[in-house]
Amino acid sequence: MNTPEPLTEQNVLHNQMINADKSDLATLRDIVWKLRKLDRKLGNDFSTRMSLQIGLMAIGEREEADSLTESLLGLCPKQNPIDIAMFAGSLAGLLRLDEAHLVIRRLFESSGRRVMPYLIGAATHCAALEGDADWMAELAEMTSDESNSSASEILEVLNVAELVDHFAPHQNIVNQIMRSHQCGSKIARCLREKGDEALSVIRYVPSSRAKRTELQTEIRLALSAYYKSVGLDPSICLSHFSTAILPHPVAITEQDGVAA
Amino acid sequence: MRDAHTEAEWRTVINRCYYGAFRTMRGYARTVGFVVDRNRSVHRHLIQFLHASDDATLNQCADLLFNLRTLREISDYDEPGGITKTDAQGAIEDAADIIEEKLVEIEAKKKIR
Repeated sequence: MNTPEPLTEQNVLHNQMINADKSDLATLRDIVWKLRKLDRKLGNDFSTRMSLQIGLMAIGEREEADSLTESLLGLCPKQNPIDIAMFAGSLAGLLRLDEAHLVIRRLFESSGRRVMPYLIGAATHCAALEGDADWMAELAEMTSDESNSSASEILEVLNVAELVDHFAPHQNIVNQIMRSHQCGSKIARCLREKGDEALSVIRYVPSSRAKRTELQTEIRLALSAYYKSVGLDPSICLSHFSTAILPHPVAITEQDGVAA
Repeated sequence: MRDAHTEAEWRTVINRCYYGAFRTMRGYARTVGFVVDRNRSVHRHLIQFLHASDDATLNQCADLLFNLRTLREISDYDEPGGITKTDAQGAIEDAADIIEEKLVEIEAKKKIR
């Protein structure tokens, strides 16, 4: 009988981070501090640096998390597929969508289209942020035997609202505005009441309430202008498909606009 | 909120915040021509009505209500672990903004007109 290998320090810290209360900044900061130390000690260890990137995003340190992307991309090939899928999720959360797309596509190819839940989740997340309806259709096809396929639900809402053709331009407009503000996102939510569906893409912003309001207004005005320009009623489109700008899980102070 | 320490309590807070804000806005909207169509989702329809207004404050209410509706959906249907204290705090701020600030602002504008 094989004895399972003991958990590495990185595994322990990663698990602590995943299981921590997402709004408990003190605990998360402590874990990030330990991951930072471990990252320095191990040099170029992909798993540790990837956990550090996720940890930095968890405490709202968007720029520092983003600064690790290049070295992680360099270390990415030949890593554990689950780690790579998690990394792709972070890239999408930071709106590094081209890189996330590439990493996921390569992983699908190298894993021989073996369907892994992590990878499907990361891919659906990325396709939703990109507004890539073709990729979403591909993912819906791959998960057609699942009763609650996110990709199928998203496509269904877009079809009902007749917004499939506007998925990419819509998300492109939002991504341009959110580029340097977003720190994490949640896969689109389908809101279902009496068959009158709506789709919501959640974006977390580690800034003050005033800044979040400003961003949401900017997004609404830009999308309204777009929908008017293509002859559609913005109020109908935005009630079916929109962006929820939510505070980053760690506490935000109104005064200084940074994680307290 | 000071007494809400568990995820179950935060979920309840979010649910109450959404429905409090939704009912308040629906009540106001009815006074300015919003008609509830029984065959359609009144939730999405109300957001559409607020977006269609020429009043920027009502447009902002549509954004806040959309955020709250999204959070309410997660809190009612997602598996445990998906809701944080910050989500609940944010929901309170959004609902209070609609009920205590925006609506007062809208009423004041009406009086000036």
